Amino acid sequence: MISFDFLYFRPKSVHEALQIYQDLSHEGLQAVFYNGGTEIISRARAGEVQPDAVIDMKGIADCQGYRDEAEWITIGAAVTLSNITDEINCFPLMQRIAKEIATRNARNKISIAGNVLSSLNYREALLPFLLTDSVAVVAGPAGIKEENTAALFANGSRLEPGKLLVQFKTEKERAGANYFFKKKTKQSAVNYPIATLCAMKREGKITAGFSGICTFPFKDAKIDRILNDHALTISARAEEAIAHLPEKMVNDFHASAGYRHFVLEQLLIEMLEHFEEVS
Amino acid sequence: MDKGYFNLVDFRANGVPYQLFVRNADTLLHILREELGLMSVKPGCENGDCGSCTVLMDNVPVNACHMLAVEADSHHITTIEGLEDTKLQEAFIANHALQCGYCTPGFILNAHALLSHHPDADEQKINEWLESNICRCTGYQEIKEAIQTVQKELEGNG
Repeated sequence: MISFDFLYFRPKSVHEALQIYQDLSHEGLQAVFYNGGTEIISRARAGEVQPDAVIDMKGIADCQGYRDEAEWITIGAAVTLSNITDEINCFPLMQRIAKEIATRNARNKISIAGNVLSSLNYREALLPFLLTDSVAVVAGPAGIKEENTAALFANGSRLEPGKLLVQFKTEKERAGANYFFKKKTKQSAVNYPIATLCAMKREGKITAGFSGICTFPFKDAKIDRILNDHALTISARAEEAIAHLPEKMVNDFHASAGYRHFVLEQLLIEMLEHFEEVS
Repeated sequence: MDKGYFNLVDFRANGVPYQLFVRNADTLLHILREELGLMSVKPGCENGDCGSCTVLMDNVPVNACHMLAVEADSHHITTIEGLEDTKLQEAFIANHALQCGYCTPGFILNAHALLSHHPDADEQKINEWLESNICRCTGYQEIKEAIQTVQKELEGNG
């Protein structure tokens, strides 16, 4: 049971949602944008967040649905992970990752925006957008802007308060690229990752994305250069990539930093061998 | 009572239309049990992990603990009270696919939706859907067998 009260709004447009947010802010009230809402409900029940209002985005057409156009696919921020696994066949890495997040019932409710903007470390649904240099469509008081996903979410950044994630746009040719994906959990299949590694190979170059090993999901240009350095052996590339992580490995009850190091090294070797075999 | 914290919700539960004035912060789980008396919707973890509160919203399984009641507006909700004498319920009994029964409504609703969306679901698909529901006193094998029994019957009738 959620022990406190909040206001509930269901706007019909992005403009209306932003207006409601602004009006509430002027009254000194804290509002949150709500898509699937699973994390907000869990954290509100636990007393970790206490918004004065929730603004439900599910009535906004721009945030819903998936469009497959000539060169681009557009995924609305409120689209559920199950919609992705069931329908978005031209983005196989996205489908594969979405299928490994939470349970089927939960995925019927969890939205893309909810996972990407989660307060947790993992945010695995961000990885395919990072690897494909996707565009995030973000609305805010200054209007609607298209921003590079990697820049927008660099080093664990999230959106500034009052900004609203509307859509992701991905080049179809990039979305369909050959990929590698492995997620390792402590015990059960449905759990947070000790390490998730995904990678894509386009035009002979590998680009890799990571979740679970640091406090945020990331891809890193330096690491990509190392992974593509054929002067080094596969093992040396894996070890060197780990030496260039953007921060210290997470050390928690899911796994020690030492064990994460071991798991990630094996995953990197497996990924590099996979792409060597494919090529 | 501050009316700003409440909303009028118009939805169907098991085919019956309801108009309820609900607290925005109340979950669908709470309203189904406490306002409509649908006690088959079981509170478990109340964190979206166990599946004991599974209901169908427009024939899609969702955890009622992870849904605000206001989100049910204009939707059709099905609980186990809305399924009567289905082959699946008979198959659960015949295959001993329950013991204490607390998780059973969630399992049956999930399986019912699975078979209506994917009547020819393979074992992988069944496992994927059933991972949403946790049982702590019987095995999952009997539950899978109950589902596969119904699949075979449907194939035979097809």
